[in-house]
Amino acid sequence: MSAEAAASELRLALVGVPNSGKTALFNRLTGSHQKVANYAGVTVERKEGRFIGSSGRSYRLLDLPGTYSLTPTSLDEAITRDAVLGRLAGERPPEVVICVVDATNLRLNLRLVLELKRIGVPMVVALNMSDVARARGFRLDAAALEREVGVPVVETVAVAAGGARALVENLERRGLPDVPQEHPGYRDPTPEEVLETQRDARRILGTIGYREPARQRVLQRLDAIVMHPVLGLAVLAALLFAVFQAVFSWAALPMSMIDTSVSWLGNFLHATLPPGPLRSLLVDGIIAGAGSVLVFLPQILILFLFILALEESGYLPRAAYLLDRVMGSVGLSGRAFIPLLSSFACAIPGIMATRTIPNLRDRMATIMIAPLMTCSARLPVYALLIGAFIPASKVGPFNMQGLVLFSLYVAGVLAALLVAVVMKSTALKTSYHPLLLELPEYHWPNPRNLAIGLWERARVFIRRVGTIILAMMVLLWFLGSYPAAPAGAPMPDIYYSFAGMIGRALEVVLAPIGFNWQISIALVPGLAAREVAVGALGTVYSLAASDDSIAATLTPMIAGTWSLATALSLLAWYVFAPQCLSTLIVVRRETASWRYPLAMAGYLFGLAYLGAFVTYRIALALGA
Amino acid sequence: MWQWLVIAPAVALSAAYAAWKLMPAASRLRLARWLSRQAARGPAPLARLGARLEQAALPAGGCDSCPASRLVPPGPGDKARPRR
Repeated sequence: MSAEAAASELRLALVGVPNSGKTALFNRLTGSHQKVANYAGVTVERKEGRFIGSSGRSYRLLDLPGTYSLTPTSLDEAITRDAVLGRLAGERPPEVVICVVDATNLRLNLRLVLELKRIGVPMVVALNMSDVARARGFRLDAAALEREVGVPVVETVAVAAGGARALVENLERRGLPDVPQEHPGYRDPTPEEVLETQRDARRILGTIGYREPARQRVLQRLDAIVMHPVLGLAVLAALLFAVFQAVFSWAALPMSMIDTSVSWLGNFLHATLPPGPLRSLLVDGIIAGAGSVLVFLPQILILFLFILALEESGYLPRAAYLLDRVMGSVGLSGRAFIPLLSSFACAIPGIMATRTIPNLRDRMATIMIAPLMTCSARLPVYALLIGAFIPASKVGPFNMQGLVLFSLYVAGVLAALLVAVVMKSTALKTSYHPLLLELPEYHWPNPRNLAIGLWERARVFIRRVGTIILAMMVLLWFLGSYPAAPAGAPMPDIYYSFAGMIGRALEVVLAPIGFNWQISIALVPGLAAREVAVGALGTVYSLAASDDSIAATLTPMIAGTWSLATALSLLAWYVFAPQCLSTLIVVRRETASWRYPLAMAGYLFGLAYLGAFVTYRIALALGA
Repeated sequence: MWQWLVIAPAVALSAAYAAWKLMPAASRLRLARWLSRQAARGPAPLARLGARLEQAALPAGGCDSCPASRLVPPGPGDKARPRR
């Protein structure tokens, strides 16, 4: 970008209360694919993008975490205040603030608009979701609101194509405002000033004739069911149960297609290339390893399709409300629900989302149990073992494999609650904090957002297979192939290799929980990320195959060589084990201390060993 | 023997990549800056590669799962978070 263009670039910031549609507007303006959901607290850090207006002018757009006011109560709200006031090191304040307000909830949103106006930041109000508001019978008058507030007000529909056109046109008409380096004069308002602002907001709403319609009776009835203390829990359990049934039932065909393609490629390379280390690397290392992981893509996408649809619908905050009593009974804050829910995708964004929890001890307790939520990286491991050892039979109308998967997810949640009880009654004791939660309206899931979410998941998964998993498989192949076995050795070559030596050394510790040396090898690269263990098992068993032909796919291979007790023990291990270095590194970053990640690794490995030991011994005693 | 001309670089690159990905973000950035400085003394393509490496080492907001911006505000444990 030339210096002249950079100088004329307008720096914009999206500010607004949580769940007002800032990120949807950010995606609409920049063409980005940031995560959006129908609940508060999705954005916990600043995101940046650029777009070009019709005049050719360039805009730099910041998407800031939602906040109810400029007086922060949590870390993410402090980020927003500091960005607006120019208090972030090396960052000037934005030249124009776009205050995104939810047109269906102006009573809550207007106070922030008035606060921003008071500090003198040039501002445009984006009256978002104006289509939804009108459809629900709200009376909206953007011109009257503009007159009363004294800043430009434009209607936007962030989820519709062209829904931000009026906003861009308004920005195009603006010159480059003269904004100070920071707003040094800002101070937190006194309680009297807060009340005064609230009175102003009510007066303005009265003047412009803003009326909230009576809520539809059908939605009230729906809420009466989904938020009922007993019926609501039954609905939640049924929904989750259906999700796990679908993960196995719907994924069978696409998984079989990917599996066949991977096998075909392996056989083709085996038949085409001359025998030697290069063929072994490609077939036994890369295809057997990375291919074993790739096959689980359909299951991951089906799981996320449901999670994204539930997020979009507005159901999840209601589930948080339902579970608040459970969370409170183990000493956790109700605000822990969203971070813990995010951890079902990956513990890392979940741990970062704990920034929305104001109390430090509550936050630490949530961080410490987040890895017990079943992240998507565990799914390939679970699916492999369930596919190999649990028959695809029916229990009544239910799929047996889906039942086992559901129980593994429940086991993770129960373990987290138990650990929370222990922590909150000892080291991280705090008083109970009541949950204050804004319940969004129900929305039909937006197909575009669902498609973006699924595309992102697929892209991330395939990139991981093509980068870190591929790299680990190449390394494991090398360590599993050298040094070569002595002449006439009775065991497979890998047994005498570097990897075999490591596996045999670990087997001493892991044999009491039923792990053989092949599993012990796979656990080491599996520390990088859980699903790497599946690829590692693929490579290890492929290298250990006794004949010269390419090994069969991994599932029948382990089904034929492991006992059921070993498989159950490995499942129990994966419910607890912190087999993810990235998670531990992020905990270090978020807590500014090695104490928490080390304590986390210690207690989770301890639980994993104990859980696997008990499972293995009970299974052996039952003759498994 | 010719097969090792393919295998040796693949193994070396894989080892380097795995070490790079598993390294703590601050160490990775220090290493990238040092490599970038060394590369800047060499020919232009190498210098550009060094600069790109340094850009790639700037910590993202989350992990691979969250396509967050590289310009994130500091979390509580990020006292020395680099800025562009």
